[in-house]
Amino acid sequence: MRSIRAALLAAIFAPAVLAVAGPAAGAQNPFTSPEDIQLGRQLYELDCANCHGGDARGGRGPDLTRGTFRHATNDEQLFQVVRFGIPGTEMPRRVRTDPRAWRVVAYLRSLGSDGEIPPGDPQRGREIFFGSGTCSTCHVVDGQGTMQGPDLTTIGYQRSLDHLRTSLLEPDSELDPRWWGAQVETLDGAQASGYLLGNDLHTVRLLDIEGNLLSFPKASLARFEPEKTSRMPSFDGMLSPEDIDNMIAYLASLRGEATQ
Amino acid sequence: MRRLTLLPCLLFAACEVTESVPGSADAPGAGPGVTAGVIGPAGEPVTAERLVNAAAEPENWLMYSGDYTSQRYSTLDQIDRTNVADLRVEWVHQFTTLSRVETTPIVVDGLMIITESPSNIIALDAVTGRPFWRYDHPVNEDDLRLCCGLNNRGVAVLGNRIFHGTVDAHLMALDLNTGTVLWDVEVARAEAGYSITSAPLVVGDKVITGMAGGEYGVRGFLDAYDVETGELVWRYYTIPGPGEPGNETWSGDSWRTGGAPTWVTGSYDPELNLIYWGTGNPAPDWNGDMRLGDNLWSDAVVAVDADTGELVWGFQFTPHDTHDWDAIQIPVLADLEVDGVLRKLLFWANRNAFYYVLDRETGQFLHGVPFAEQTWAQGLDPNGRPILVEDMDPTEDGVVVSPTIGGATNWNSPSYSRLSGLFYTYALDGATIYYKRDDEYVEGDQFTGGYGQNADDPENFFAAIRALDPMTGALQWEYPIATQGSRPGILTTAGGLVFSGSGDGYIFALDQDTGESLWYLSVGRAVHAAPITYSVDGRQYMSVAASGSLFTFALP
Repeated sequence: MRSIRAALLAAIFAPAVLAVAGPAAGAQNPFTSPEDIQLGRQLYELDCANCHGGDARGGRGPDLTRGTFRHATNDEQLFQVVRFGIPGTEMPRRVRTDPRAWRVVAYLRSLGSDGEIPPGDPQRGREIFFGSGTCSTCHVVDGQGTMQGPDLTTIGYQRSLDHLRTSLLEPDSELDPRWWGAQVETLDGAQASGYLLGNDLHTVRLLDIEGNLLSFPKASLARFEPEKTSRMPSFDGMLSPEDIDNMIAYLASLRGEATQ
Repeated sequence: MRRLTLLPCLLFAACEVTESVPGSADAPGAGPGVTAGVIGPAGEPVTAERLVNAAAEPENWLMYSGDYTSQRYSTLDQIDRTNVADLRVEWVHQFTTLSRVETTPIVVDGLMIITESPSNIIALDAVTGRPFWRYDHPVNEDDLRLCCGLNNRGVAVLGNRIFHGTVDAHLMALDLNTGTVLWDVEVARAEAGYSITSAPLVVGDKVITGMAGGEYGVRGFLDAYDVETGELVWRYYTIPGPGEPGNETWSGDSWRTGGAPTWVTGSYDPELNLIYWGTGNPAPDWNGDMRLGDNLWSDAVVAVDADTGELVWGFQFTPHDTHDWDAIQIPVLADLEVDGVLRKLLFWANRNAFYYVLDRETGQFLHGVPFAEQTWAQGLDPNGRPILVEDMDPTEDGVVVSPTIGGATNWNSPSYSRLSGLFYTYALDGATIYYKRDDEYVEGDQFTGGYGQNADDPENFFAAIRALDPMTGALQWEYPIATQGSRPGILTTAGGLVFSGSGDGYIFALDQDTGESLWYLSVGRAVHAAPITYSVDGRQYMSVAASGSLFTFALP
């Protein structure tokens, strides 16, 4: 290979270039083949990886592997962000042609749910979720359940099957800091624990198990122990391999259609 | 003090304010109108001589780093360790953009000049924070090539003019009182990868500007323009051309696209008539195979004759850099005794995690030690050249190296206090996985040859304000700050204080000797700028930008 860039240039300028102003609202991505995704990955590494990381898990810029984006809810909006940047932020106008931007979009989309068909039974998974698995005591789907842990209404859209499996079996791996916990004890002996909502130079903020928001000046604390582990137990051994598959099938089916 | 008491109505605005302001001059936040202040330019102009003696007028902040030594130390002492806890917000200026704010204000006799993304200027009353005028620089973002945002760090001043570099690589002179553009020159072609984000430096009758573009395969340079006409007086290329010493440190034609930009303001020694300026990474950043050799003068400090632009000496911190460790830190000048002899020294905490002491007359390396976590060098040899650890260059599969891409420190200003005798710097202990990729130079495209990503959750890194013995680099104390989003500059004062900020949105004051926190305020957004101090009518102020706003403080 002469160079990545030469190969990309050859591949990218072959198709007809789309309108300069970008596609119409709701446009579909015309570049979604496996080859496009591979080219998109190479373009990503050249134009995006410095801020968002080589695996797109974030760095100076946000994590792009979650399947949801703060500034885009569909492919067309994601294209706009990739192609033109986000005014008023550090996200620059970087990817310089429409086909390039579409291929980056295709690559980013490939990082979330990949459309694979999971082997399990989603209906059986749903029964476990709201029944014996007691998942809904901490999670919400379509407004049902308790909002302690992450809302899973669109999790099937955001996560690959591998990621869902890892989350069920090894909940401590790749845990988003939003779900870290902490225990504190004040100088006068009061104790509290919960999700660690904030930890900075001078304050600690928690959401406790009862849903109370607590805020402490660090100077008032005798003890502060962040817990960078998940509050969720591992289901490895708690559920049969079949039921793990069923859970994954159910979670993968959650794509927010009920609420959109 | 050059703030005058207004008797005749010299300015319409001042007269109107005088008539309409209720209350007494002692009221909190009382403006200049109350005491009928005429803002400085109506007084004496800033001369080249005043710039040389800037440290002698601490009521003003006359250039990016305070004075030509770039110590960012002020002799103002009204705010001190005993009363800093009473510091309160005097006024807030809100910027019109959400972009990061990296500006260092200039204060001239009660007039403050600040800059705003992408390349705008605002002139305001330093006592009240109310604006006099603003200049909005038109940019076409399609023509811009910026690695790291639409940033600007400030302006320079001389006479009735301010000088301003822009993201589209222009240098301008504007009238100090009105913002009227007096001249405007294209320093380089923006679409070819050039930009200016740093404040210029006025030396004599010339305005010196650096440029950015190290991620676009530019050829770095330093320019001097005539302050009156905007004509180019000299250009010094940081990468020597064919036939010039150092060109042989670039394989093939790689010198043409070798980077080494000059994107942060330098310092000046009037006695030696030398300008000291840091240079950035060689291009492409992470693929050194395309530019074999030491790549002079990338990642270096160059000492350039202010009259001619000729290189007098250079010292390269990171030969053949493959980790993007730009040496664009502020050159801090100080005169201290070495073995009983007063020497002209240069202090430098580098992005590559080493702290250096150089003789600034000759460029001789005197001392160097790590001041932050590093895994790439076993140490420095007697000439200051790093003794490399093997296999630390980026690869296809990635190599973990400390410091991070962002570095152990970066462009954010350190400070040297003449009171405490300590050198203060931001420092980050962290690691990056560095990847190498093939690349090819295409004008205006990124030319980086790889990338990097955090080797760990940044929450597990460690960041601090560190106080070093400037002669040995030995750590005296450290004050932990947020590991993410911190790019704070540092100010020290004769009040025994160290002012700085943090990525989690705090501004604070520390005891210069112990690092003890004496005062802080949550300002809500990351501090990417350096604090300054000034005084008007005998009252000391401290100003610092925190992303969307500029905050100014004073004692009640």
